[in-house]
Amino acid sequence: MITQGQNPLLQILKTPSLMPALDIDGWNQVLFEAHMLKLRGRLAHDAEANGLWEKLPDKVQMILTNAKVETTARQRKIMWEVNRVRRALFDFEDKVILVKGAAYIVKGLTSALGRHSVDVDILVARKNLDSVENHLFLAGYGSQILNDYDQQYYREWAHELPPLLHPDRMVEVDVHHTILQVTNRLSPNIELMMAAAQQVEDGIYTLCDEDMLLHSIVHQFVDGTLKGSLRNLLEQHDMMGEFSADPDFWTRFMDRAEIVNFGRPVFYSLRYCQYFLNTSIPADVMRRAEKYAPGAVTLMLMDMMILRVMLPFGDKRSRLSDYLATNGLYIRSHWLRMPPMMLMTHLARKLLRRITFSKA
Amino acid sequence: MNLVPVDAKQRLSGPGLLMGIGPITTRISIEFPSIRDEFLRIYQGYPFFEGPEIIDYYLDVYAKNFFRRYLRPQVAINTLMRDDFAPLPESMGLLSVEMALNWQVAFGCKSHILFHAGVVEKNGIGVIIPAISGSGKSTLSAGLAYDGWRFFSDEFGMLDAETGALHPYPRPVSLKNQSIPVMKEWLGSEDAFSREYHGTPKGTICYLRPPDSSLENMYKPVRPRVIIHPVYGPNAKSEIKPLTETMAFFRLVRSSANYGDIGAPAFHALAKIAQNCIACEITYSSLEEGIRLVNKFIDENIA
Repeated sequence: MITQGQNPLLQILKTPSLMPALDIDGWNQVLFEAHMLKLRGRLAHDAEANGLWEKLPDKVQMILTNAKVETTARQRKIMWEVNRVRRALFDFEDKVILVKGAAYIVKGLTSALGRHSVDVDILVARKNLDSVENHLFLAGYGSQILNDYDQQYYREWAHELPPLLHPDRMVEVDVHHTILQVTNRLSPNIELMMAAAQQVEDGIYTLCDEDMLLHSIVHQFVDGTLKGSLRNLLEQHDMMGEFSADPDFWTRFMDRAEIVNFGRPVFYSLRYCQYFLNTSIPADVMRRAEKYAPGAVTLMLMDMMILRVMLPFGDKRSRLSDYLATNGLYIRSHWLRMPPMMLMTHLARKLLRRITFSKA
Repeated sequence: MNLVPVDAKQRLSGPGLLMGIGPITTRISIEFPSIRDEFLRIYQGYPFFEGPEIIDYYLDVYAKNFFRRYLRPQVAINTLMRDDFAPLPESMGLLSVEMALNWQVAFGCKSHILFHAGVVEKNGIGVIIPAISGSGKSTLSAGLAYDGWRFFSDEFGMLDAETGALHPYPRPVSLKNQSIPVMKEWLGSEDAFSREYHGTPKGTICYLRPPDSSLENMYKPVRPRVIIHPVYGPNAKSEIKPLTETMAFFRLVRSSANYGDIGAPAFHALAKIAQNCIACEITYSSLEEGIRLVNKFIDENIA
């Protein structure tokens, strides 16, 4: 039974067998939110994998087919791009680590199923950046960002090169040298993570399970926009479920989180996975993470904002509070990302650009 | 259940009007009264649902602020898909609506194989008319539609890969420049036309509502039997040039927007069509000649 008063999308993500119980208005809400949150591909997969496809209204089957074809095609393009990147880097000697979507796909993780992935993200040692970039240039990749300030900003402060594209395929390749902006207050020990990476194919690696989950967590709770990021939470939920089949996983994971100083974002992830998706997390793990919780007032604010922006599209909500929550979280992500003076100059520059429409 | 027109206007200005065309249901809301009127004029006779219905696409036609609503009116479009439409002046609002509806289908629809093609039907014979813009496919499709054929689309051929059937998606025909007087003369009345929009990036544009009988039968699919590539030229010699199965196949691939995304099922479906259809290219210099050649090719090749 679909429970009134609870978000139907969350309910069917947790319990796909509820899908056939949705009525037309329920489907419209679910399909709309799933579209905005890029989760329609996941619903299509869940419906098929649970033998529910034939029980869905024809119209829903058609809409979910659109999503299924699109996510499958995108994943196919991504894997082909990975193949092309490998070819471009064939005589590059060091590790090339796939992260995010491409990593989930090659590892065959649950979080890849029906996932909407658009870019290829790779991680290489900072000392190798020039070499990797040159290899890719030689293979025909080009940089899309031509403006000097942006180029310099990327190179000096960002955790990645300006995005690269091959003109024949137009799939964005992002070359990272760490997982957070260089100026971020949390600066992880990336050497440690790169050393622990596991080979999946010749020369191609992924982060180890703990680090893969940590990366998803900091991407969402430290570096990214939280608005509409339910799918990131879902991928963490999936990984927690999948990795914890190994009884030692949770201990290894919490040890790792402490070593790389990610206690706070891990606390948030566990808290909100449990809240939104009923993720099963052992009580002692939750207690251990609670040591890294923020003060009561901050936590209350964070709860308020997250509850508003994770599913921001339902009606019956005041627009002002949504606006405040979204902007509060935007400012937070920038606040974490760079020191105050640098933030001021950066935002002033962006503002000036908007006012004058210039590209400077 | 269908709505009476006055309710349709209220829906358009308020919660959104549910419009069903062929397999696609769109919820549309329009903030500008003038555009609502133009919209309802050209979409007169289309199914507007009382609801509830499962919605494929949402389209919001709005003004970004007070200035853009009342002082220098400008139409913004939200398709909820990654579009990048420049706002247009209010007087061209219907163009924005049509562009947005095209965009949603062209980039969102993967359940059917899409051809950039006109499609018509008579006596159970489905005809695909694939071509690039400016080759005369819209005019030829519309001309056939007002000459006893059932109109499916002038722009979006929609094929169900599993059943091999074409599905109607009879949106208004978009006519450009010299085609407009040609079609007005062909119909002998201006009732089914929108007003003319001058000075667009494509010159003058005018929309033509398909015949009522085509709208009434918009849920009946047909099997494709014929592929005709039109090549219009003001001085062209009337000619029918047969196409081989291989050429017919490759031209279908080239005209399909989502062939690559659908992959293997699309390959098999198109190979089957190429195998089961007769195909030709026609060159012609007037609408009459074009229609004559279409009929001639079919009469001579299908018993």
